[in-house]
Amino acid sequence: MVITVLLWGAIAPALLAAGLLLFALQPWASAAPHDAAGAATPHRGRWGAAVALAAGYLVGHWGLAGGPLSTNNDISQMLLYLAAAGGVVGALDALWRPPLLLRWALRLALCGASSWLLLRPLLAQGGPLLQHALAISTVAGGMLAAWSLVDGAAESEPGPGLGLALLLWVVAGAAVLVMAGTAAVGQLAGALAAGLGGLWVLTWRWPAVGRLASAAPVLALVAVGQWAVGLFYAELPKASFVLLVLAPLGLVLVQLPLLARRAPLVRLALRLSLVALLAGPAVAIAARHYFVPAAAASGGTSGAAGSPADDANYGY
Amino acid sequence: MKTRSNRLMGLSLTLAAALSLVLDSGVAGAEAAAGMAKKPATATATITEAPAKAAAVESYKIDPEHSSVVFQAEHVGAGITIGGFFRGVTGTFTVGKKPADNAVKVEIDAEGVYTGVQKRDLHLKSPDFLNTKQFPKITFVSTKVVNAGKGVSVTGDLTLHGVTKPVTVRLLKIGTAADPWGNFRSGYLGELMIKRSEYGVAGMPGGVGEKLKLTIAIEGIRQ
Repeated sequence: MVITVLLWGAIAPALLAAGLLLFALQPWASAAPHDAAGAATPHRGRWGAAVALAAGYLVGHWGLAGGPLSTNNDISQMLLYLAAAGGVVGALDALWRPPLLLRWALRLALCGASSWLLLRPLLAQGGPLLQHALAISTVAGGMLAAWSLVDGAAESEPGPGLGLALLLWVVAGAAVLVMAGTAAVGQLAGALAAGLGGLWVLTWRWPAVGRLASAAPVLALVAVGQWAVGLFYAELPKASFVLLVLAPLGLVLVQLPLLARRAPLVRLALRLSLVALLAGPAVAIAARHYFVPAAAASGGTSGAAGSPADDANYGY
Repeated sequence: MKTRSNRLMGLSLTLAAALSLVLDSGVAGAEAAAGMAKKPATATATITEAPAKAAAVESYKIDPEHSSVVFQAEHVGAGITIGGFFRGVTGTFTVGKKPADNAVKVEIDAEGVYTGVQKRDLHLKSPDFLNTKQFPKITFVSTKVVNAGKGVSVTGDLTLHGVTKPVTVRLLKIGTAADPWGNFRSGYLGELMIKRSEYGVAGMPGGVGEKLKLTIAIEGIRQ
């Protein structure tokens, strides 16, 4: 079992993602045009990050939780489609940069549809319309925010530092999911982190591949989608969800004039610290939620919330 | 003197009888207020006679307070240490002389899973196992019921974790009885073995056994 999880949850996504990105960018090729800083010429192979991360995640998800035709009916299977959609949109966005208005309309539509897909079973069970609208808006808004922040940071300041900060963000999300009582979705988050890790490792050797902007939709739809599954179908605390969604703020804050003039290493440390400043409490809140039993926290006597012994009529 | 004594005795008896009546009505009132009022004697007689007057097809409503589905699975292959039950078993069943008249419909509240360990209960409700937020109900609807010895063999569709598969369970009839509150009850007990992965309940494949033993105990109240 451990070998299966390692293979599908870490090794396969990392290798496939790295391989596909190398194939797309071919950073070793002498004919590849580079600018003075060593970064690839804009648009050349930039679709690679989206396709590589989506493919890496898809193979990991498939191996861990089954494909679309498996008996697994969990809503987390929708993440397969979200990853594929994110990969296609990210690649298209890199190849053909659409006008700003169209780009935002596309993002909004994709985030809204993804949110609806993930919450569909809950909508089918009935309940107040306003509550459903709020839930869909929260998830869609989270996806849109993460997409925009990652995209903005990747466009303005690509490089190894960005990959590391993103990795920190996704790994924190995986840890929160495991503590939210769903190891299965936590493993899927691990597969996403492994794919991202595969891309990040390459950025050290070839800074040209550091442009991960096209992977933003994959990260936003899949990572926020996984947290939404944890929030609505498991025990992921609301505060952790909000903090995780906002954590990429740290990626763009280093672009403020005051911080932008610092040395690259200082900026990297700042970037990681700012992401950790929001992702850290998200993990801490989930850990508290996991390790402190609810009944004890609320002053219960049975130590087991929902215990039949709490029911005055139990047994009669 | 004797006459006076007789009068006093008569008065005492009258007072005692009156007091007894008052007390009796008070107890009855309290019981009625508590929702436990005794049925009149005539009603009890009716219950006793009920089986003889039973209709050709009897309909029963499953009593969730006296029905349960117990489950057991292996833990890391070392023993049957993971066990628990579902509260909130509801549904109906009909019993008739013709095979076509027999039917069972059971609905289980998946949120009612209980193993005695809070964290394990939460984990069982999570997407790793039952995913109760997405699949709040576990259902069984019979498609064929045939008599089998002291019970019945029920074939039907079991829907667990959103996956529907046909299963056959042999239900042993425990008995029938009238309860003190005027209800006529009938109870059945059966066992069923399923493979959880066939229903997409695939969490912790190394830790929790693939086979689940379900013990179904249902008690119905005739309608």
